[in-house]
Amino acid sequence: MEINLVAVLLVFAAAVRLSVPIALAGIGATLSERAGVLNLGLEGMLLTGAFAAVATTWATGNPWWGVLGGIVGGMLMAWLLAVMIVQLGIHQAMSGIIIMLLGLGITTFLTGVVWGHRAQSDPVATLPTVSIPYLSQLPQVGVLFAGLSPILFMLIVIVIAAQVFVFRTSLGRKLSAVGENPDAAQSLGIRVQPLRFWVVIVSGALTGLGGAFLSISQVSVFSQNMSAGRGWIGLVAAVLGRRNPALVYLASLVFALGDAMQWHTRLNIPDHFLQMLPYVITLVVITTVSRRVPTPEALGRPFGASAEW
Amino acid sequence: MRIQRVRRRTSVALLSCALLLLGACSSPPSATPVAQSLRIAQVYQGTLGDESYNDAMWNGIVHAQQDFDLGYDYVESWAYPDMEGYLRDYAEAGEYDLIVVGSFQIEWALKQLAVEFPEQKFLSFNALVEAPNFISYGFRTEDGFFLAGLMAGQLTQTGTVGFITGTDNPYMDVNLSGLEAGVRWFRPDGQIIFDYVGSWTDTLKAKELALAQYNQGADIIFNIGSPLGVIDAAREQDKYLIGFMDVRHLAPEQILLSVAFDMEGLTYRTVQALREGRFEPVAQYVGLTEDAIFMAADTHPLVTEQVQARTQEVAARVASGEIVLPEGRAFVDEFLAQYAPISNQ
Repeated sequence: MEINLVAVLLVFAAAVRLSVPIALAGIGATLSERAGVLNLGLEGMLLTGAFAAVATTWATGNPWWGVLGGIVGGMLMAWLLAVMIVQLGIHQAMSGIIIMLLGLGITTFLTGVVWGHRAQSDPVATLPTVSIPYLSQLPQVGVLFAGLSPILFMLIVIVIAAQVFVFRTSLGRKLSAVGENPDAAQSLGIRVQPLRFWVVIVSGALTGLGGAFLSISQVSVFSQNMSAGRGWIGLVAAVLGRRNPALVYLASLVFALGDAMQWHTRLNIPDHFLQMLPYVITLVVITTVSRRVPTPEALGRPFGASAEW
Repeated sequence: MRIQRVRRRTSVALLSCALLLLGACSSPPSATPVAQSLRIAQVYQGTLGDESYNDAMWNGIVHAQQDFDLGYDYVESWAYPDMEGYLRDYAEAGEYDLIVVGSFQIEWALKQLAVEFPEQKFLSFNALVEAPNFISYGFRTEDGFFLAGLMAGQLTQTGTVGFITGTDNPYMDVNLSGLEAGVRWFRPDGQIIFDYVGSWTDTLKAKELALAQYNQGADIIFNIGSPLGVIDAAREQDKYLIGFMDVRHLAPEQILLSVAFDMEGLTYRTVQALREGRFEPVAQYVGLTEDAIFMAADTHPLVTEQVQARTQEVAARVASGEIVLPEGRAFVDEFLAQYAPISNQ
């Protein structure tokens, strides 16, 4: 197919949709990493959010409750992670991987309990889509403003709020202080542990919302392992975006664009190569750009009395 | 601080126990305790509820259970390397009259088991094992693709037919040649476009791929695996699908028809024969000729009897061996020149 304006717009529209769960997980990672907590459980939280959103919608019949359910589902997994990392001082990477695996296991298992088969849920109602008046009527560019998910608008608000929070509020600065040097922060009267605990919960809430986007905004079911690595990509987006919420969103959009381009243009590139591409980009990013990204000094290090674990 | 930490550890431990209890409460369907005349074990690749192979084999067993007294144990294997272990456990138990399995990825393991457990009878799909204790069927998948193509070629308005599946496999070129040959049989200017999701579980990506194909002019997509995302795309765009295995109930308005492999029937008939004391080892590819591949196409209003009849006419020529399907996409032109009517419209 020839590359024309319509094709470019369709690619962009698809990329915007695909960027949502990656960005929400990425901003969750940004916040918790700023506070010195490595959150490798994002993938599990995304899945749990997706599952909880469908289960709640199925039970109540209202997808808006489903959104709330997704957020709560993500928070529950995050709570477990926070208990392990902050309160018990268990190795952060280990805790994250446990949450990731638990998320996959528990959602598959519960799908079987609720719907009687394990591969996927029954279809449920989905969130309504929003078309922006006037803009969506425009010729050609209208596709960018039609059929949008309400969660996309929430994401925009979240990116702005996170940006303001991180750079313009005293709590945001305290967060960075905790991530850089928790001992110094504590000596200045910042309560390190509660801050770390709650920031993990918030990252779970954001990621859970991303899960709800997957399951009740884009499609109408939960299916086993439907997050398909987006939590991990979100983690990389956080690094690529230098843990700056707005840049993290851009990084998510880049990953999403890579995917969308692959499908909408029929370039003569082997399919397997394109499927590998996000991970190659990740590798390149990790070995080049991210080496120059300032990493919070205390990232991954447990703090306080619990460190003896 | 110490006490508080102990309490927290206790709460985590309690939570874990609660999860385990939850697991114990929802016990899987248990085998009936009384002595059965026939006991069957099955190892599934992936999980039940896949609306595909696994559910078809399951339906075959359920059908058999309605007719005969049957003991049935099964396990759902998440990762295919685990399957051999499960199979070995069932075989070593020595209490099953038949072990059923469907996975082409463990062919080597099955060949090994055939030798190690010569007394144990097996029914295998998609992996052919020539052994006196094996009944194994492979499917000539290109027959199914050809059927789908014949139908799509008649039903498409735009002439572009899409194909979406989970992952690529070594037979895909042959399969796609079947689809393309089918489409162009009735629609000489027709073309196919195809994409692989790269995963059997990524519903969102499957949907986006379907949207992309519809935007590129496809009005019918033949879909194998991950049907749910593709269905959402079809609904949004008000376009059509051809399903694989009978998935029509998932979206009766969008799914024009389904192409199915008769795993249900083959499973049922194997159990039935065993029940009558017969077990004839087979290692065979089956397809249109054996009536093992068929289409379920009698529900959608667009799929008229005439369309079905014209497809069946061609399919019958494949079944009889008169038409030999192409061996790859490079041979489609040659195939059409040899067999297809010059003008169809």
